[in-house]
Amino acid sequence: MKMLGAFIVMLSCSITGICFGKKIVYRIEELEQIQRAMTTLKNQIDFLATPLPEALQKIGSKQKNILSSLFLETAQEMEKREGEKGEEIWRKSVLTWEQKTYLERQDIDALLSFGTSIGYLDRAQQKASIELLLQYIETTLSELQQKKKQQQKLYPSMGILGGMLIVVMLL
Amino acid sequence: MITKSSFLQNFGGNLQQIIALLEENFLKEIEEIRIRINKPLLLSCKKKEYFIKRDGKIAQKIEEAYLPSSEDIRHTLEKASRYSMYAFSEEIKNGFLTIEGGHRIGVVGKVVTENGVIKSIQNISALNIRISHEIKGCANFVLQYAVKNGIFYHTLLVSPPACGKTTLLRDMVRQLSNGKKGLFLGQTVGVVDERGEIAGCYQGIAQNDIGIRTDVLDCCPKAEGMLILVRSMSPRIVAVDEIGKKEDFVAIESIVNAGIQLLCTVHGNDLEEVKKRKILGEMITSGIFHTIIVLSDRQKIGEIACIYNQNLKMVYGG
Repeated sequence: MKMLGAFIVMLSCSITGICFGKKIVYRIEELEQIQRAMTTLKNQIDFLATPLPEALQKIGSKQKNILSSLFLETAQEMEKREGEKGEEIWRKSVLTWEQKTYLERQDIDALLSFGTSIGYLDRAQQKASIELLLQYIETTLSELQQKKKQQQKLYPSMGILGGMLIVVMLL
Repeated sequence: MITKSSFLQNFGGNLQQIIALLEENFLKEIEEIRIRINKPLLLSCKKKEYFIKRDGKIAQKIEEAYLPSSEDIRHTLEKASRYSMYAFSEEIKNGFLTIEGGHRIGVVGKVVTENGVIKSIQNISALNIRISHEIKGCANFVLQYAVKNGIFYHTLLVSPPACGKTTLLRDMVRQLSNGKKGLFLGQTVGVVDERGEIAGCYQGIAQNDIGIRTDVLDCCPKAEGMLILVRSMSPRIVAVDEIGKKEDFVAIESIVNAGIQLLCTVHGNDLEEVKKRKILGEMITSGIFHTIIVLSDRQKIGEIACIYNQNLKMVYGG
């Protein structure tokens, strides 16, 4: 009986540890998705001058990940043109979408600051604002890759060790 | 003709509310909306001007009129372009953009140049929204003169600005392209729409009805456009708006030589005035144009003042 209890404690602590370690992996994945989608958006704007609602719709419907809902929702709201500014529409969509993601505050802030450039700029400037976002993602990603190596080992082992500690204390 | 809900989407800031409060019947008649920063909001309608108050009513005194802010203009442009001003940067360089419905927004502001070439217009300070009016059937009368024995011949429309020449041209194109039972068969028409006014293309799709056999080169310089059309779409009739540049006439010559019929418009008050112009005058006196139609706005916009035949004899009006 005691052994079973000890086993359950160990197991749950290890899983928690692994999950903590995974969080960073998911964040990296999401950032990479944004990176790809935004690169496509940049090309749509730069070479084809596709209007934003259409471009977002196009890219959003091709994505099979969490990003698709953000793009599609924004495109829909923009198509309605009910009275808000482009920036506000983007802001609203990002903030409701944020809960579904593993992104952190600074990632969301970078996405929001892209929104401030929507609407009143020429092609070069619009492109530049996406490039700024892409640059942020790139630096964040390389930082995260390094962190990932450390954390992926750290959290699971911390989980196992923590579990052991509890078991020892309880015994 | 405009429907309120779709038209309203193009306005931002306080302007959206103001336009929403306008009476529907009044809205339908509007020809132009002029929005200038800190200057009274102006609508023109049936040759009259109206100042508009904050509550959408017509102001009796100028002081009561609503003064649009720079935010109003900014937001209106943002929405009219569907949050994608960059998609219109090429058009903005020419001073206007065409929005859904074929309406045109003219813009002025600070022009940014590079090596003498206009790059864009920044700090836009005034908008002129020209509502595109499609009047189907307005060309019925003139077509009786322009088409003889089922064949359309070179026709010139002479008109002062804002007298409905583009509206008439558009309906002529539509009818020539569709054909008219008993009068003439539908023919392939090529339109060079340099200012995006004839077809009112939005995202490449004509917003106005310009007929089933019409091909449009949107926002293309006229002279080049005419030649492109001849090469690419082999039209029977080529229609262009507001000819005047030297190269236009060179292109017209090759059109005429290719046996294609020409339908074009030119700014002018009457035939005498137009005849004095160098190249155009020669063309007119040499009898290239079989029909010359002169418009005026003496009684109402789009009124046909007179029609001349090939020998410059007046066959209608006086």
